[in-house]
Amino acid sequence: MVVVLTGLPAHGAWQGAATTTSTVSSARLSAEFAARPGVSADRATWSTSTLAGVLSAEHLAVTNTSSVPTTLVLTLRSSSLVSLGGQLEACSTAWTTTAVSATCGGSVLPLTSAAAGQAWTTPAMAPGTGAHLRLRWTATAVTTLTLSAAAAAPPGRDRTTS
Amino acid sequence: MTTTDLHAPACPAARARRRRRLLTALLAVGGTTLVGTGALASWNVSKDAAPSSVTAATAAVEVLPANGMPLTASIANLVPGDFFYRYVDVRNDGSTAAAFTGLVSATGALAPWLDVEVASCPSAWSTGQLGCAGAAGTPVGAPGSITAAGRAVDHGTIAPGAGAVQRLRYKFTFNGAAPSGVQAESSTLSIRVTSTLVGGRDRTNG
Repeated sequence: MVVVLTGLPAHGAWQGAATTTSTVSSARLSAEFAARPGVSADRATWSTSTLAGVLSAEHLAVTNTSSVPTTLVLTLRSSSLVSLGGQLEACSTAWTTTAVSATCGGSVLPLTSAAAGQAWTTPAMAPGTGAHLRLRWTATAVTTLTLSAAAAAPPGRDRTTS
Repeated sequence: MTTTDLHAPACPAARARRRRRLLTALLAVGGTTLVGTGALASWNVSKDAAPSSVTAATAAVEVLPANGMPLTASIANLVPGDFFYRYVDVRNDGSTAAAFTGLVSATGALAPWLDVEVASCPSAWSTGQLGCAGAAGTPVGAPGSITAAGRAVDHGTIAPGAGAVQRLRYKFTFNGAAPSGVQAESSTLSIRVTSTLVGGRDRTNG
């Protein structure tokens, strides 16, 4: 049997080689609500049922559980088309609530007035830090509100030196 | 009992046999001598050619960090769209010009989402995209994803010595389409450069 070897050099090849290695890893992007009634098991959403024509308020704490500083995107959705006429406020410290008022001991960031289906974006937060949210609304009809939290991927940048 | 005196004169027939044996032995010795010495004398003259030496080549390569960027520095918390540069001088430490090839590889889940773009510059790189005297340098190979199999880079032929180093810049980009499923994953990036010498050439003239 004749075996024809193709692609092999007619002469032996001598080689020298050098290798350098480094390790790279990707970030983790996540946000979580503090555990409380209405918060899902993965802590990514919180839900509540509304009453019609009643001013309601809820307080929620959300934390940037990412490995990088990033903004959090809070999205409010309604199971039916309603007007909420409310707003979401974020406080740097926990709200002090009484029967008739809520006070922020730190700085308040009114995220915006909103109708259902709107998203808010917080300022950039360091890993492990978060905000205390105060959501107020007056719904025109009975509905289920769901607030979800997600970490937004920061824009790509030159990482050569950091 | 019968005895024979060997020194006694033999009979004529015995003497004749003895003479024939002696003659045969003399002819055999004489013939051998003729064959071994030749019939004529030979004159021999010899001279050595001028001596020359041959040495085997060596194949060796060194990958040197450039621009003060340590090649082994780790980068954590990459997010899609992040990029970073690594500057490398490839030096042929062998004894002769050689063909150089490279392989950029990555392990783990990030490999398909790491793109690499290699460029060379005749002078030392400065930082930034236009770090080759205000330009982007000359592409070395086609840019693209590293993939699990690695991305081959053809460095071409590099002459030996420090004066002929190939100044390269590797731009690594964490692909903007990387899925969330590769969060918190790690990969080991490798840059391997190989010099290859293949013989079989006519070296008559050097």
